[in-house]
Amino acid sequence: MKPFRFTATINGRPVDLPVNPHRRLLDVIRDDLGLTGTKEGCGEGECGACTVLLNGRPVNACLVLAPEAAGCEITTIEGVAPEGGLHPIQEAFLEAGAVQCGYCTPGMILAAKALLDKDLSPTDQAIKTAVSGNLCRCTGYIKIIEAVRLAAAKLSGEGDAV
Amino acid sequence: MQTKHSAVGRDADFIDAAEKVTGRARYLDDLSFPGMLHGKILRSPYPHARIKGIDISRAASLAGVKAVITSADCPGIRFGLDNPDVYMLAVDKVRYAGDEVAAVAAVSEEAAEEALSLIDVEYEPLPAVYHPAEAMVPGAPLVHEDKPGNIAKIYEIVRGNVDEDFASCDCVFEEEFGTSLVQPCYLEPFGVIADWEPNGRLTIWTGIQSAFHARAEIAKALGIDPSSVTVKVPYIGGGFGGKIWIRNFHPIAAVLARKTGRPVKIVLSREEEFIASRARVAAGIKLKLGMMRDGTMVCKEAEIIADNGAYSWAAPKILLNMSMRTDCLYRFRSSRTVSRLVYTNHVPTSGFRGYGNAQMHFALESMVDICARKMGLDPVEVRLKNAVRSGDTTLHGWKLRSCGLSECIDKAAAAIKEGRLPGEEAGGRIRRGVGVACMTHVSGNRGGDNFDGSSAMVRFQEDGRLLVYSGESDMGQGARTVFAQIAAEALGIPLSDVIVMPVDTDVSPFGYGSYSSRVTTVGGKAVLLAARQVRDQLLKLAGKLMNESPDRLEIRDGVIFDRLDPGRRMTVAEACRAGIRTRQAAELTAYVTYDPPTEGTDSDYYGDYSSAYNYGAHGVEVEVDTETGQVRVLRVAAAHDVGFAINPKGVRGQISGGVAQGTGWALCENLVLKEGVLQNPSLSSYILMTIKDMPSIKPIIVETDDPVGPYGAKGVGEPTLIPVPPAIANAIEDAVGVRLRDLPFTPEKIFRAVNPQLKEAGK
Repeated sequence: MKPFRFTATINGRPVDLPVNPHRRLLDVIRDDLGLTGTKEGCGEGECGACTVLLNGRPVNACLVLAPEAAGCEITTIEGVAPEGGLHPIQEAFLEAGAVQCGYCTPGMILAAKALLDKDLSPTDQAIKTAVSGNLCRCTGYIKIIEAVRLAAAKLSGEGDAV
Repeated sequence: MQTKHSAVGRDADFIDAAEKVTGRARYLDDLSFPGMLHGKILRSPYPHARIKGIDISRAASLAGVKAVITSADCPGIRFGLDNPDVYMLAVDKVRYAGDEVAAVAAVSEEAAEEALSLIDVEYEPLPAVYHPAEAMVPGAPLVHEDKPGNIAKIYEIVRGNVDEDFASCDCVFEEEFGTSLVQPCYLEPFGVIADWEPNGRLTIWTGIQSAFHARAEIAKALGIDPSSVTVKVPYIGGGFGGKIWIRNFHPIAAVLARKTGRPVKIVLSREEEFIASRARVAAGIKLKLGMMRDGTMVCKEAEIIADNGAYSWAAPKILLNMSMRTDCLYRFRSSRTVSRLVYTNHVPTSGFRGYGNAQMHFALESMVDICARKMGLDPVEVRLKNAVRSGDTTLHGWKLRSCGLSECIDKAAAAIKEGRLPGEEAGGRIRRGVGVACMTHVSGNRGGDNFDGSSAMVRFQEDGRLLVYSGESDMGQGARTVFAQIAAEALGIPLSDVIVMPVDTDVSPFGYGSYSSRVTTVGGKAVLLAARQVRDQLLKLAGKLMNESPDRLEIRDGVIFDRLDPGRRMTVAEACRAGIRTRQAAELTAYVTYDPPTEGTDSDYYGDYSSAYNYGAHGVEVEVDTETGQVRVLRVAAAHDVGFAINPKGVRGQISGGVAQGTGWALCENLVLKEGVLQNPSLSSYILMTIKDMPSIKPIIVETDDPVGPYGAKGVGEPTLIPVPPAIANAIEDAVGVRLRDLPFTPEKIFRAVNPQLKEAGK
């Protein structure tokens, strides 16, 4: 198959590379760009481990073909933290004990980010809905809910301070 | 409360969580090497068939394909544990739908996939066996020709005089239970990279719970020496028992790598994880319980018939646990268990959180409620009356050096009664109930007189930071953090100055690995003893440098000071620098091998074989919709005797995770096989608990200060799942008055049990 020219913005930086059009966005991110923080858990859109943000919206990168993401703004887990530090959502996951094996964590954090980018005081129901497409086999989710609550508090606290 | 400890007994953030939240933690599939090829495995579509021929020529000539192998390319070695019964690629016949038949290495995954479709295998389907009871019938097709009656293992374990005791009981009850096939479903698919070094040694990267067992088993499968193999463990994305042991793909990757002279990576697809990963052993259990009118449990008899599947890996060990462990929950006078593990043409089975113990807990802890109700007794009181206690030697010879079972029962039962919702709602359509179930498990497992310990090496760096090496893997449960806390505590240095190294069998000290809920208890104890040795070395050196007797010195927050004259001090970093970079030359390194003071078991499996025994009890509240049969678990109060919680935050995480897996097993997870072929090999049809399905969970940590474990600690990983299914079954009976004896409790089963008068259309 003839490669096409994949141009997009990933984590704030422009990318421009030849990609086979049958490749999944997940393959472009992991294999072509070497951003291995995005995980593959099932390859069928059921586990959410490969969640990335496409123009701010959470998607399963295993279900998106590269051409569908062309021209979009893509955020992966590598684009969440400020240089040398952690994003408040990452801090919250760490502090709340919402991380065990860590394999679902990047996807969880991006799903939470998509929610908190729009809503800084989400209800528990909204939190559950936002990450209901992300499976976790270790934590039993309890601390993930706590982490998103804590992240919301951190983010609104910061908002107040500014 | 004032704590006497600086690092243990406190909530600690996982020391590797920052790597995980930023996506920098590298798991197997995140690694790649120059020239690396991608391996794929061709699997049998038939549950039982003769292989009449394999033609690889079309696949081998596909562009990008570097090797295609069949059994003819592999050492003709059957490997495995108690029953070495599997070739890495099938020889002559396949025994389950998913069996490995051929393998390919190619420059891309796509080319490897395409090559699989070009391998022509001629099969002759054979009659198959899909149920253990059918498989045992004389004349049934044999899964393995050298296993008559399809028997993989039989145990008969008798303690006391059970016939006499049954005759003297006031009441004798008999029931039957069944458990289902479920998969561990860790989020990270299992995989391997194999590469042969120029010096002839094999390097294996794999996210495995037991690196040293892996090294031995890979060597066995390849017919080489274990010392020719290195196993390196990157981050592990969950294991839950499913990643303790190697799979066929490990030696397959090694053969492909040897044939191509290049590194080969194989990562299972999620579909392969369902079809060909070793599921939890499913069992049919007949149980007989003898009791006195006052609620005393006297004796227990069990007959187990368990589905081994096509190959036997740890399933015999699992059957042994299933056959014995629950006898150590209560003060039984006698027991007899006859158990059979039977080959079928199903997916092979092995360990999954609970390792067989969970299956029998479902039966016994359901049974206790059934019997108590029939006798008009309170099930919780019956449990308390019979619970084993600290100081007991159980029916199988376990010496209970610490046991908080009664306290766990009390606390879980009280917590679940508190704040209960109304028993009925919506005119009786919604009914609610509570139930309690107990558990026991181990923290280590000395089979016979085998080693059951762990080794640790700790080593100061010249900047005062400490490297800790252990052979025990962290699969996400927080072992690294616990080891760091123990080392920091023993040495008086900040937690942030401890680095826990990844497992590498060439470097790490010998350890059995992460299973039997043993890592904190025995792995942690080895770290503690090694840290204490290095502390002595450091103080001796500091004494020399400070011109002071070492026994006057203490270390706190990374500073060494004179206890009687605290102004005289130097930092650990200064001492280390002097010890390593000057002519003072101190070793500042300790390597300790620790084996807990247990006896092990005799030829009849009797004996004290675990460093500590874990006890717990869960109370659950459920809600049943009598019109749909839907069950919702509303609340779980989970009390666990962990001896001492080194990281209470980690313990709470284990509890909520175990409750989620246990609830999934009870309500929704189930491998559906139709004539040996899996019907739901996908996360869209094999249903895991999501965030919306979770009950609220109250973790209750009970501490009994075990005299052997590090700082009194015992394990908690597996225990948290074990009591969940029976507690839910007991709560369902409390809610709607029906008893579910077969997992999982699907809405259909509950609806039919609640509405026995309704018949299915056409029946």
